[in-house]
Amino acid sequence: MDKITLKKEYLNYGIIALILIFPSFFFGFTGFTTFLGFFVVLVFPAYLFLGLANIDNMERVLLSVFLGIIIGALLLWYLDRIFSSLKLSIGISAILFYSLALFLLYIRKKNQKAS
Amino acid sequence: MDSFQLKDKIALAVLFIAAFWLWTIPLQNSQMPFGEHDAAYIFAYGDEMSFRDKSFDITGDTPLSTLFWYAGYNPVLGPTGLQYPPPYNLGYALAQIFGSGRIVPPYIFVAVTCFLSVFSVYFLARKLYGFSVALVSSSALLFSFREILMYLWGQRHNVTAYAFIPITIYFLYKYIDSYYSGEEKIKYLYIFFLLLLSTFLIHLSSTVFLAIFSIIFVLIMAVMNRKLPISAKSLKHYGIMCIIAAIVVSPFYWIYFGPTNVETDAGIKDLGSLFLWHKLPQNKYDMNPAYTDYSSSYINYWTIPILIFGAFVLLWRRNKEDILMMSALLTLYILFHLPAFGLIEPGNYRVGRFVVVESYFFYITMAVGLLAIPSLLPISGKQREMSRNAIVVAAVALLIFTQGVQAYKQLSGSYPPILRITPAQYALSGWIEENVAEDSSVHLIGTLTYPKKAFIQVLSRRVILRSDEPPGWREIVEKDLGKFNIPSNLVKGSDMAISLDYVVFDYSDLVLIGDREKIGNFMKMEESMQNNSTLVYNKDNIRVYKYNG
Repeated sequence: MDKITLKKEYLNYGIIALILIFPSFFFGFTGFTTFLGFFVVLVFPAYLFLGLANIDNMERVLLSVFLGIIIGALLLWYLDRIFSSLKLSIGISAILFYSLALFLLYIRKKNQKAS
Repeated sequence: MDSFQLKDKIALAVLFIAAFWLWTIPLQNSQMPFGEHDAAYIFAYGDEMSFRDKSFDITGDTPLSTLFWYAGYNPVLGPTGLQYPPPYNLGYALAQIFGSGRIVPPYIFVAVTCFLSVFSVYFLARKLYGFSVALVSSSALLFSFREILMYLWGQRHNVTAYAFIPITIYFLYKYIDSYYSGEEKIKYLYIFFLLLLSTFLIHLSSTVFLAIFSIIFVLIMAVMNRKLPISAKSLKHYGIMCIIAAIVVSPFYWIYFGPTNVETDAGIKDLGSLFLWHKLPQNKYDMNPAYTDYSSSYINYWTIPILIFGAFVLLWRRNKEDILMMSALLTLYILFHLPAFGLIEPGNYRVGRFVVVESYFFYITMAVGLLAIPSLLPISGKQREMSRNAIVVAAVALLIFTQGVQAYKQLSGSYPPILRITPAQYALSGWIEENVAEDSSVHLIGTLTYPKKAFIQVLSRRVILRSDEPPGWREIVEKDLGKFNIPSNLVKGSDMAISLDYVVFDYSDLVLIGDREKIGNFMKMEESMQNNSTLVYNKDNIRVYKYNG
């Protein structure tokens, strides 16, 4: 990775970290964990899935928030119909969403390499 | 080149920091819940889900505390039916779980989902018109008077649903544009479709806007291109979308279409109003008049020429982006004029709420107008660029010192401690939850406002009679609901009924404000309770009596 790309990556991580940490300035650890929870369970999985759509970064980032919090919550609701425990459903959804997203991304990368 | 440039990332980060700090001021000032009746109602849903560690089924699961609120509202689902699809309310529950708190985490969720429109508008304006227009319009939205009002009052799911509109119409635009460019990209139609379904899952009014917009925009583009944007090779995708829509919509269909309280009387009712952008009804939609007032939201009336000039620019240019904006404005015009055709009764609050969406497109139109001015001047390209930058700086500065100051005063002055649950009342809620059985209820007298009583009710997870009338009820009854699914311990013949065994005299607010007359009146009521009840709670100027026998 060249220096400019690396700097861009660091900037991106820095902004994500700022968004996650900023609420804690006002609401302490509660603010941080609230944001972290939504990011880990709903937003980032949506971001990974949207990597399959071949859209530009701004679209991908914003869509991961908008779709993650609602479509992600809907899928969580369906899981809860099966498991009858929100906390358990959260854990299972995280495992499922991440596994599926990473698997699909891996398949796509493999297909791209093959072609 | 990646469209997500450094200046976008910085702008979005700054907007987020500013929005989070500003919109959470009411929560920073006090970590007690705030809002009107609806705020408490919606809070109850998420709160109950995290309490039970289970999300709600469509019927049978709604919080006990809210059962008697809208008992007869939905004749199909009945009093135990959901009033809203689960996903948005589930957000409250998830916030409580992630943040390990009952009040602060869901209110953080509420604030963030309400100010999402700042980013949605930034995104739309950025994609259509570039960075400068995006910065000006999203800065204006950061201080949006109407959105802040609805956020404070409690129509939060409505505000969140509206926030989806700009980003959703963008993806329809992207699809239509790709179709007519000869390189149809079906992925954009899928994204549009998922966003449209998301609005259905939050609040139907946003879906109504998008449906009307989609028809208008597609028809205009079809006329311009002399062809409808339908392709045979995409038929299977249309079929897939229909199946997804059926799966997502069908469980929640009766939530929206069970109640039939929109009165229509089709016909031309008010032709004259068609010549106005928006004829305000006399009742101002039963809301604070400032909510619909132009000057409250757009600095002052002198911005009208800027708005008109911006609209003229759109009409003059008629690029695809401008067609999209004009379609959105036309959609708003149609929605504001539904009463003129008898399609909804005049003054219906549902129409009034669309003034929030008006702000999105008015701000973008004004920004377009402002930033088009240098193009009219006989100056060089570099001077034009410098002029645009100067306009951006001046516009943002003006917004900060006018709308920004207004927004800060609005938020920092909202819901002072006396208008929120006090620690004493929070403790009362906890006592009620622990000591009052689920098949019993409480008569709450004296708390200063109806919304405060509502929050005590939902936090206690019990049915509460919120009237200040003298005590004497021994049950709360909702008649003729026997045909619905009602918890078995609450059924009495064909009625829904709950025993009322406790009376609360809450003097805590009245002592704080020194209302001796009311204190005197309530103390007389309290005296009448002495012979047939037992004092079971006496703390911080709040007394609870339990009826004997």
